[in-house]
Amino acid sequence: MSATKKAPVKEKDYNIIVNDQVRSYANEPFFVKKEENAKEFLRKHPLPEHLKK
Amino acid sequence: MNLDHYTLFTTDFQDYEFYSEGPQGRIKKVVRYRRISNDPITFNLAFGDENEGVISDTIVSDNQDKDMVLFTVANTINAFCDHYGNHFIYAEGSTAARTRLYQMGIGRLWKAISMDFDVWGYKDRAWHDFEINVNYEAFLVKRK
Repeated sequence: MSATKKAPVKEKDYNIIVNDQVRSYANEPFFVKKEENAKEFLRKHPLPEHLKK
Repeated sequence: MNLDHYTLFTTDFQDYEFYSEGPQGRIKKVVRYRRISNDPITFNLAFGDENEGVISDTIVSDNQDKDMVLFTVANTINAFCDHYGNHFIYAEGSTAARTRLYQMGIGRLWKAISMDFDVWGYKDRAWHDFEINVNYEAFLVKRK
């Protein structure tokens, strides 16, 4: 099956161009560490109940 | 919010790229959202500069466009919420100094930001409504 290239889409409100050129940063060490730190912070300092509603 | 901002690029509305332009040249910025809690649903907002494939938020780029960068990041929140819902978004800097820069940026642009977002800051072992000129350890944002 041949690869098809998506045409860029411009989101009108926020000046966003949607294309397939942005790589995934899922395994980027900087982000992985930030996400782990954030989880740990929220585990120690959860939101108060009134904010959850 | 309709202030000056950079063009954003995204594929999946979770990872965003844009380019800061100023006296220090063209600097690639990356914003990433990832779910970190289910109760309540909360996403982490992480933001940094990409230089030769390495992301960092400890570099002071000094490109004299910090408000434009902040509004561009705010636009990613709007775009993200459009696609994934108005959930809590958590953000903190890698260092206390970096977190303070975020706090000062939010404070500087508070009039515009507060129109669209509720913001809380963590301080003295509790979450508080955001106030200008108060130093926080971390932030939570939710689109109104």
